[in-house]
Amino acid sequence: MAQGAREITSILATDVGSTTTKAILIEKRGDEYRLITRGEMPTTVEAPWENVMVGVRKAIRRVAELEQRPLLDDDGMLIRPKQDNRGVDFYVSTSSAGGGLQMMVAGLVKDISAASAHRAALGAGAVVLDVIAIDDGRSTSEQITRITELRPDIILMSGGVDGGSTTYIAAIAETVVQANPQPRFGATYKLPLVYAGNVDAQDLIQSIAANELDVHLVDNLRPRHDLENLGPAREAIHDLFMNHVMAQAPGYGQLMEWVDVTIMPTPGAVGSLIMLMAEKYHANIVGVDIGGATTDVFSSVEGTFTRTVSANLGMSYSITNVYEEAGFENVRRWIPFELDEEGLCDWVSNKMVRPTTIPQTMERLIIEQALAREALRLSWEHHKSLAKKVEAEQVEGWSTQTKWHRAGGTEIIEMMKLNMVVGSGGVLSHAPRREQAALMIIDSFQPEGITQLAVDSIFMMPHLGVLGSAYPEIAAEVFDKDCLVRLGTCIAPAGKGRMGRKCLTYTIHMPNGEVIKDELNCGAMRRYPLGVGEKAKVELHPIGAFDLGEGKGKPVNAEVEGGLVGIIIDTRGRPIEFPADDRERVAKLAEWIETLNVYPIEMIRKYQEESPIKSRDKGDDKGGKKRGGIFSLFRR
Amino acid sequence: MTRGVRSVAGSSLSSVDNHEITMVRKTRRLPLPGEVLVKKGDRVEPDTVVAKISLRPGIPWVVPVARLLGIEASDTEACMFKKVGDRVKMKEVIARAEKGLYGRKEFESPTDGVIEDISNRSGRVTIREEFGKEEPPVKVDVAFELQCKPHEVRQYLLRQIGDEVKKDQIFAKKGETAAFFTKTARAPISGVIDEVDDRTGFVTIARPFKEVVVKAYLRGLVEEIIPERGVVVAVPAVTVNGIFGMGRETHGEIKVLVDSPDQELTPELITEDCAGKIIVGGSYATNEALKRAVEVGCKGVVCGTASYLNIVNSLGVQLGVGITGQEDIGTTVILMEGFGHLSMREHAFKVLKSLDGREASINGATQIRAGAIRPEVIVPFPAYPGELATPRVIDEELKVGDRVRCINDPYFGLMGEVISVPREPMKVESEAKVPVVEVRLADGRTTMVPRQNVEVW
Repeated sequence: MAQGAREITSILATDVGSTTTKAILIEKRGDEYRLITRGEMPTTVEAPWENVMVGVRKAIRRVAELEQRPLLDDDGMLIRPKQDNRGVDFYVSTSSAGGGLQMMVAGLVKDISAASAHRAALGAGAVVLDVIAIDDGRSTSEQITRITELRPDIILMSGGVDGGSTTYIAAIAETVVQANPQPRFGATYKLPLVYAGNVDAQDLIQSIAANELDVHLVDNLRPRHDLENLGPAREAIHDLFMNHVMAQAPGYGQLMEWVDVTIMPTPGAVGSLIMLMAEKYHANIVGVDIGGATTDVFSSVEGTFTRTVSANLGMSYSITNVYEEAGFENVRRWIPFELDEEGLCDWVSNKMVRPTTIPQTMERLIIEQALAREALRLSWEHHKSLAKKVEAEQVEGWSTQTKWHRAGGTEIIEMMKLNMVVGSGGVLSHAPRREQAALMIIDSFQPEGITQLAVDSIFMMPHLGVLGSAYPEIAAEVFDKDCLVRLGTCIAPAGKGRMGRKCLTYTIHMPNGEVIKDELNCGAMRRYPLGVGEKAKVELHPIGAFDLGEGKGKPVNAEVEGGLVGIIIDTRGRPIEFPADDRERVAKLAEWIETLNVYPIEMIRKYQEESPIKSRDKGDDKGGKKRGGIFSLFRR
Repeated sequence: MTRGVRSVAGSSLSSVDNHEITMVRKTRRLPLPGEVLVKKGDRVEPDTVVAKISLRPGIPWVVPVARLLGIEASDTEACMFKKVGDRVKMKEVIARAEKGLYGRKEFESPTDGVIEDISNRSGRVTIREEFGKEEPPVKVDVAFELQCKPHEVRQYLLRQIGDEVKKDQIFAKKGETAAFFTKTARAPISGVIDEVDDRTGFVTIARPFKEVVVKAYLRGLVEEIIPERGVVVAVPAVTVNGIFGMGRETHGEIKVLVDSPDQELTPELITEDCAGKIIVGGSYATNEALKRAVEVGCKGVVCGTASYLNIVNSLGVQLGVGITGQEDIGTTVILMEGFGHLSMREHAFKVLKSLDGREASINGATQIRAGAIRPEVIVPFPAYPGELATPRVIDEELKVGDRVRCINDPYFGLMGEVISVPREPMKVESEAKVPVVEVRLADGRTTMVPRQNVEVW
C-alpha cells in the first residue's frame, strides 16, 4: 500500500447517508494531501429514483462543477486514472442509506458471549435489533416469536469457549433456525449468519443451519473466558454488508463495481478512523457524532475500541425524545433566562415534525444547544455503561462468583485518562462560534484533568475512515490538516467544592514568553487564547480535595495544545454544580458565557430583561429555610 | 401508501368544489401469510375484512428431553416413541430411557400438540401446542391462592403483563425462605398475562392467538390481489395530509365545527351529536376540547394545532421519536400544522369545509424518519365519472413571487411572499451563515429568513 500511495494523487470519497450523499475530493498538492472540495446532494435510494447512483453522480458532478474539472465522462462513468485535469485515481465510499446495517445477535450467556457479540456488531457499525441469549429471561418460545418478528440483515452468533461443550450452542442455533428469520431486503437470498463461537461446534452449526441460512464461520470472539477477539467477526460483517446486504439495495451493484475498497457502513468507517487516530497519537480518544435521529459514541481507550449507538437521541427526528428522556429541569438548567415549559415543548415538537428547520434567533440557538448538551450527556452515559474490557483473569477471590463477574468485563472509561474528545454532527460542526462547540462538549462529557477538544470540520470522518483501510497515511494526514478543527485544551480539576472557595492556582508559560500566574475559585471558568499549533507549559496546583490526575491536591506540570478557543480552565467541579437558587444560577451561567465569549452577552442581558426569572413558590422549596449555623459546615 | 398524493390548490378539470380528485391506492397486507377473502374487482366498504389469518401457530414447547432423561443428546431420537409430525396428548409417555435394572426414566408430554422437531444435537424436542379455536380468557384468583391482599398480587408475580405463560407454569409466588410456607399460583391454560386487577386480586390469562384481520380501510374497488397476503384497494378520492397525527385507522362522517381556519376548537362546539364523526376545527384545539372529543366518542379530530403538553396530559401519548399510529386513544387526532397556536392552511380548510357531511377514512400514522409517512384524510368518490388529476409533485426550489409561510421563530406562522433569493449565504441573528430568502411578510415588513425555515404555501 505504501508504494501505491506515491502514485495516488487524486482521491474521491462519497458517503451515502440516509438523507444526503456527500462527496469529497482529496488531492496531492506539493508534498501533502489536502481536502480540495466537497459537494452534497440528496440521496436517491427511495422512490421516485430508487437508484443510489443518481445521487452519487449528482454529488460527484457538484464536486466537478466546484473544481471546474471533469470527473465523469459522457456516459456518467468515473474517469480513472487521473489524466491531466480529468478524473481521479482512487474512489471509496461508505453507506448508511436505507437504515444502515441492522443485525440480530445471539449468544449463550447474556453477560459474556452475547455481550461480546453485541460489542462486535456495534463496532462493525450495526444497529442491533435484539440480543438473544439462553439466560435473557425469555422462554424459548418467546425467543422464537421475537426472532420471527425481526427482519435483520445479518445474524451474528457466538457462544462457548474453544474446546467447550457444544450442546447449548446447538440449542441456540436450533432456536434461530426454528424461528425461520427472514432478511429485510428481498426474499431472493439466504439470510447470512456469522458464527463466531466455539470452533468445535462449527460443523454442528453448518449441519443445523446451512439449509436455511447462509452460514459464515469465523474465529471465536471469546476463545477463552478472559480473552475477547472481535476483529474477525467485525471484518466478516463488513464483507457481508457489502456483498450481500448492500447488493440488494437499488443501484448498489454499480457502486460496488466503482469502489476500489469495500464499501463500509458509515459508523464502521468513523470507528476505524478513531482507532487509527488513537494508534497514531498514542492517546485515549472519544468521538461523538450527533445526528438528526441518532447519536453514535466511539471510544478507543488503551487499545480497546467501543462504539455505542443511542438510536433515539438526535437533534431533529428524535429531539422530542431527547426532551422526554432528559426532562424539563435538565434542559432548563443550561439556559440563562426564564423558559416557559409549554412554549419549549411546542417548539421542540415542531422541530421534530419539520426536521430541516434551523434556529434563526439567538434565543432558539441557545435552547437548541441546551438540548444538544442533554442528548450528548445521555449518549455518553449510555456509552460509559457499555464500554467494557475483558481482561486476562486475575482471580483474587476463590469463589466462582468473582470469576463470573469478571468475565462480564470491567468498565474502562476513566475520565481522567481521556486525552481527546472529538465532536461531529451539525450542531457541533456548524455551531456559529467554536466556543459554543467547546462548551457543549465540556458541559456534556465533563472531562476531568487535561483534555484536548476538537470538532470535525465538515463531517468527513466516514470518508477518511474508509480511505484509511487502504491508505492510512493519507487518511491520517488529511484528518490532521483538514478534518480536525482543534478547539483547544480543557483543564478541569475533579472533585467538589463550595462555590467561591479556592480551587486551583496555576502558572501558564505562553509561547511568546508571557507568564500568567493566577488562581481560580470553585464554580468559575477562564479562557486564555492560544492559537492552533501553539503549545504552552502549565504548572497546576489543585487545592484540597481537587485532583488533576496525580492525586488529590498534587501539582501537575504539562504541555497543552492550543486551538481556535484556546485554554479553558473549568473549576465548576465534577459533576458540574449549579447554584440552587434560580437567580444565582442564571447569573452564573451569564458569567461563564461572558468569560468564554460563547454568546453575545448583550443579547443574554436583553433576554434576561425580557423574561426575568420568576420567583419560585415557597411551597416548592422542600428544604424550607436555609440551614445555617453548624449545618453550613457540612454543606459541601 | 398513497403514491405521492398531496392535495394542492388548483383549478384542474378534475375537481369538485375546488378540490382535486386523484386515484388513491392502498395496499392492505397481512403480517404473515393468510387467507385473502375478496376477489379482484369486488366493491369493498371501509369495514370489509379483505384478508385474515384464521389461526396463528400455537406456542412451541421446547423440552430438553435428553437432559431430563439423563442420556446423551445423540441418543434422543432413539429413546423417543414418537416421530416428527406425530400428535401427542398431555401426560402421554413420549420417551423412555433404560439404564440397568432400576434406571428406567420416562418423559411425559407437558401439553397436547404435534411433535415438530427432535434434535440429536441439542437433545431437545419441540412440541407445538395446538388450539382448535379461540378460547375465552381465564381468570385466576391469585389473591386467594397466595393468601394475600388483592393489591399485593402485583409484587408476587413472576411473569408480568404481556408475558407468556404455559399450562401449569407457576406464575406467582409468595414466600422465598422455606418451601413449606411458599404459596404459588399456576396457570390453568397456556396464554399471555392480560390483566391484573388490584381490587379483586384476579389475574386474567388470555389466549394470544386472536384472529388477525385486515380491513379495506377505504370504500372502493379491489384492484389487485397479493396472494396469501392481501389486496390493493383503489378509489378516486380527495386526500388531505396533515403534518402530525396519533391514533389508528378509522372512518366516519366529516363534521366541520368552525367557520374559519383561524377559529379555535373549544369544548362547547363539540356536542353529543358529534359521536362517531370526524370533527374539523380551525386553528388550535384546546386541552378541554380534546378531552371532550374523546368523551363524546368522536372518531377523529382534525385541527390546525394543539399543545404538546395537552396531548401528553389529555391523551396520554408520548411522542418520542415521532413514530405514531398504534395508539389506542379511541379518537384519531390529525394536526394539520403542528404544535403551538397556528391557524389551518386556508386551502386545506376550504377543502375540508367543502367535504362536510361526507364519509372519510382517516389514519393518524406518522413517521417522520426515513420514508416519511404523514397522517391523512381520504374522502372517496367511488362513482366519480370525471377525469382524474395526476398527483402533483411540489417543486421545492424557491422562486421570486412564491407565497411562503415561516415555520420557525421569530416569524413562526406568518405568511409572506418571496421578493428575492440571494445566491450567497448570509448571517442571521444566531450568527450562523446560511442560505436565505428575502420575504415580504403580510404585515408589510421585509426580512431575511433561512431557506430551511419557510415552506411554499
